[in-house]
Amino acid sequence: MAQVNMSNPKTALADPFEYFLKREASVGVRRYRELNVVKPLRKDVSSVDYVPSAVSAREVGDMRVVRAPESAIKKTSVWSEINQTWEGRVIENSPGSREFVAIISDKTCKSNPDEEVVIGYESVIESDLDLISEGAVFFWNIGKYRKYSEKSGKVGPAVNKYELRFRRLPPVSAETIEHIKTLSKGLSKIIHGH
Amino acid sequence: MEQLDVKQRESSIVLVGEFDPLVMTPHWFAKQGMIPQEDIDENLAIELVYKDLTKFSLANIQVEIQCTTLILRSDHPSFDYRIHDLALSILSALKESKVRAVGLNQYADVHFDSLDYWHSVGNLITPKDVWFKAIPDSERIGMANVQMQIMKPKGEQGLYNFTVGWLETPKAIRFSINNHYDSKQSSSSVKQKAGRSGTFDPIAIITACWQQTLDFHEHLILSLLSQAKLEIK
Repeated sequence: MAQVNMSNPKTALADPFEYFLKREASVGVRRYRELNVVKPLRKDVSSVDYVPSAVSAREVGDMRVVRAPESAIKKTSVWSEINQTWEGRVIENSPGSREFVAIISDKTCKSNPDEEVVIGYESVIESDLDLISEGAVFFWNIGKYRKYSEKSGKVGPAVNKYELRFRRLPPVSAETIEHIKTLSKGLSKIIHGH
Repeated sequence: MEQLDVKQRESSIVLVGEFDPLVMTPHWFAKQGMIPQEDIDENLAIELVYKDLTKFSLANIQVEIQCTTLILRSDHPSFDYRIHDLALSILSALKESKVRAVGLNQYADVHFDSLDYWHSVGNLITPKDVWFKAIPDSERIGMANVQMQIMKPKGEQGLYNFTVGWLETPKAIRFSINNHYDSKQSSSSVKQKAGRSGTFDPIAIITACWQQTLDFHEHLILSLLSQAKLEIK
């Protein structure tokens, strides 16, 4: 039996444009215009994102040269790496001393035991200060962050950073809570029943 | 348990309903308290605000609002909670959005340390014997993309669409899941269980099913990979 391979078979169907061009050349057809084959540059870039630029007038024939528009998209700052994430729950809030006590669970290494920590208000962003209350849940990420600079128009080098963010969940009605409980029971059966 | 080598992944929540892209700008989100002002100041990148589409991103989060579809994406597990919270806040703030379908999705590009292991996944999911019997002259038959539709156990709403597909990157496979909920689906058992009129409740669905969908996806991948490992000769 022939060897089975999951990779894409090199057939005409796999790359119809390339196949068509090769075939044309092999049968000696004189071409006046070449097809501009659009191929994604990277696997995460679609052909729509990639606008090919014309190399020569011969290549485009009598078509007008269409330049790729300058991107109006502002790049954003991004976490390039997350080293550790904890999920925390406030168990005691002390606004007077501007700190709170929380139980944190390691989401990166789930076998690590829960820890009790005291966190100062200075570690929390201004907009989240009102969210600190007993029972409030937050996520704490530590990793490498690359900040976008308006000045240079580039994303800067990765720097160590931590971010503590409180969850922003809307209030839920008693009826919805009942519905959630029902759905959760069924799902738990699906996952743990295997 | 085996540790997955995931090079790229994305989780997303898709709502199908009625939305106004011109209203749902980043500043609307900030005003509603869904996004902290610090994110607007430091992490916001607006791609487009137009009557048919508003698209912007924050660090590792993407928001896309079309007139009939809203998509929230996160490219790292540490930020999945944010799209969950955003979806619930939107549904809570926009009761008139008439959401009629919810999709809870994830894809993960898993890389393999050996070609044999990689091939064994394809051989497990799509046995080649039937194809070679049908086309004996073929030199090579391989899996490209397979989609399975998995009905949930009786009484549960929705279904799973699970896809396994090859990537151009060598020794990599993309696994995707779509956990789909539709207001048209019969939910008679939910009616009985919940003691309510089988209402399609997107808030309840997302709250109850988001994390479970991600867990179920991981469970499926790990289960397939452990079976594939046994197939390696």
